[in-house]
Amino acid sequence: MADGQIVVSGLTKQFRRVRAVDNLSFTVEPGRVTGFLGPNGAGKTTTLRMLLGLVAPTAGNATIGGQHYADLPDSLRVVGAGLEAASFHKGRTGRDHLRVLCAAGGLPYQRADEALEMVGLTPAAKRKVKGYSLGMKQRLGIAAGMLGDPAVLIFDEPANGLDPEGIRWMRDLLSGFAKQGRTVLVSSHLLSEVQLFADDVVIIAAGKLIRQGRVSELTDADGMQRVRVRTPEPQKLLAELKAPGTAVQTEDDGALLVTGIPAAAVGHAALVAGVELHELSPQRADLERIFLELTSGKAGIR
Amino acid sequence: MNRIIRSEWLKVRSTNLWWLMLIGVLAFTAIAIAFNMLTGYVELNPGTNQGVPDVSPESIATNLYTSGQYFGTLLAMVFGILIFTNEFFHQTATATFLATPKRTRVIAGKLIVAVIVGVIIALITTVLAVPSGLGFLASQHVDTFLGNGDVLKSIGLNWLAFAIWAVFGLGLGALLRSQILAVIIGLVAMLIGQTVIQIGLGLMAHYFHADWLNKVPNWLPSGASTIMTSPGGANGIAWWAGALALLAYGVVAAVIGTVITRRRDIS
Repeated sequence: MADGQIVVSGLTKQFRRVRAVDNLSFTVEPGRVTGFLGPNGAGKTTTLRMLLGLVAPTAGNATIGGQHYADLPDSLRVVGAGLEAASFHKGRTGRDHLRVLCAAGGLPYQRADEALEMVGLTPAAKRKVKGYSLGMKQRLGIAAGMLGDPAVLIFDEPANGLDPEGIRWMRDLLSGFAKQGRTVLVSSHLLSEVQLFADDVVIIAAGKLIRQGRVSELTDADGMQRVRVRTPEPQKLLAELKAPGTAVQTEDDGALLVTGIPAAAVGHAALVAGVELHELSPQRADLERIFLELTSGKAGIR
Repeated sequence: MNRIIRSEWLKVRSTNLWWLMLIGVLAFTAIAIAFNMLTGYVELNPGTNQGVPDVSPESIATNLYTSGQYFGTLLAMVFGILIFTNEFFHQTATATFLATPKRTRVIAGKLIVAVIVGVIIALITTVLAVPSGLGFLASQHVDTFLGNGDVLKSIGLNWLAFAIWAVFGLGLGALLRSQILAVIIGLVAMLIGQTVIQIGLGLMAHYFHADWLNKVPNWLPSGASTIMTSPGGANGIAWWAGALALLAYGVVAAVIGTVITRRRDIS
């Protein structure tokens, strides 16, 4: 069993009327950032809570390095987790929150200061959490996860409430963790986020697995090549773009979106037509669109 | 186990709870001392009160030395309730159970902290009540009774009361989980529930000619507490039976609360 590998198999959770997680199976590998993606209410948080022994599964299994979380002798040294930005006592300082966890996990108090330093919260260490912004609470949650210097990191929606700079910081931090060989599992309901910081992605909707794979595979598998091209004389260019299988759409800003031929072929067509080009850019398949297609009709309120 | 006790102790120390408790204990004890001195003065100087039955100086001394027991035990119980229900009220249960996945250990740690705090409250009230009581009795030229066995026993039982009420509160909190509900039920059980039930049972006993119903209130938490803190027992029941009854309430509530907490989904 690979150290730090997360294995979810046949995991199911039935709340009174709702099957929040339905026979879900996937694996998460060390050394990579895995995005756990799904619309709101897809069962992401319930899955993570089952993985962490907080919610009892109705059926199935979830293990970390081959063990159930509750059986880990020194849980904080093996797995670091941050689940909700709201789950702090508002009248306690950030530093004391971490110290309480250090004490429970058998870690020296010094780890609390080191973790605060790592997430850039040292100036706010002795302030009560009620004075923290959402972004600061997210950082405190990450710091809590880092206390035991664990091989596995699990964060639920860590980018919620972060500003663009914070999101970039988060991306660098997570990919840094993965480069050190740690397992990093991060949930999100926003594709743009996952696209930013994940290597792999597990997509679920309505509690079921939709797709698991590398982010790059997923976008390439879309197969549709699209090229965006802008010219002051679109009609002349259009006349040259007549190859079979080629389709052209006109965008709102007047640019043409060409499907079916590579960018080089579009450039050649422009040369033949003798038109001036202001833009010629191949478009990467948009994960957002794939995501919406994959999960359409499965999201929403259950 | 040491880890969890350290962690739970730090939880108490790192919020407003501890000094709010301290202020409460100091204030209520001061009020109780003043009240007991006043009644003691009235009772020791019969000239100022006609018709009040004579009270033994010994029981006046006991009262003084255990000043603050009534509200102090109440605070100990509320403290017990709060250290458990805070985890859910402030949603810190997630972090707590991630750090200590064995939930029974968490509750055991809280139980020990509750007992420690109960004893600390007892220590504070005793440190305030005994010297001030001694001073008062000396000023009234009355024996201090400090060498008296029953008086010393009362002081000891006073300490026991604080610890057991804290355990009772923790059990109640673990059982109900809702902070507001647990505090209300705890206070009602301690303050007015006893009287209401006593009157109700008294009426029923009269109506059904079932005399045993009159004995039931002795075994309710606050009745048991009264018996526990009387060195000679009360209503024909020994002090230790009262202590065991109150402890049983706390332990049963804590055990059921533990079973529920172990199974409960933390979300």
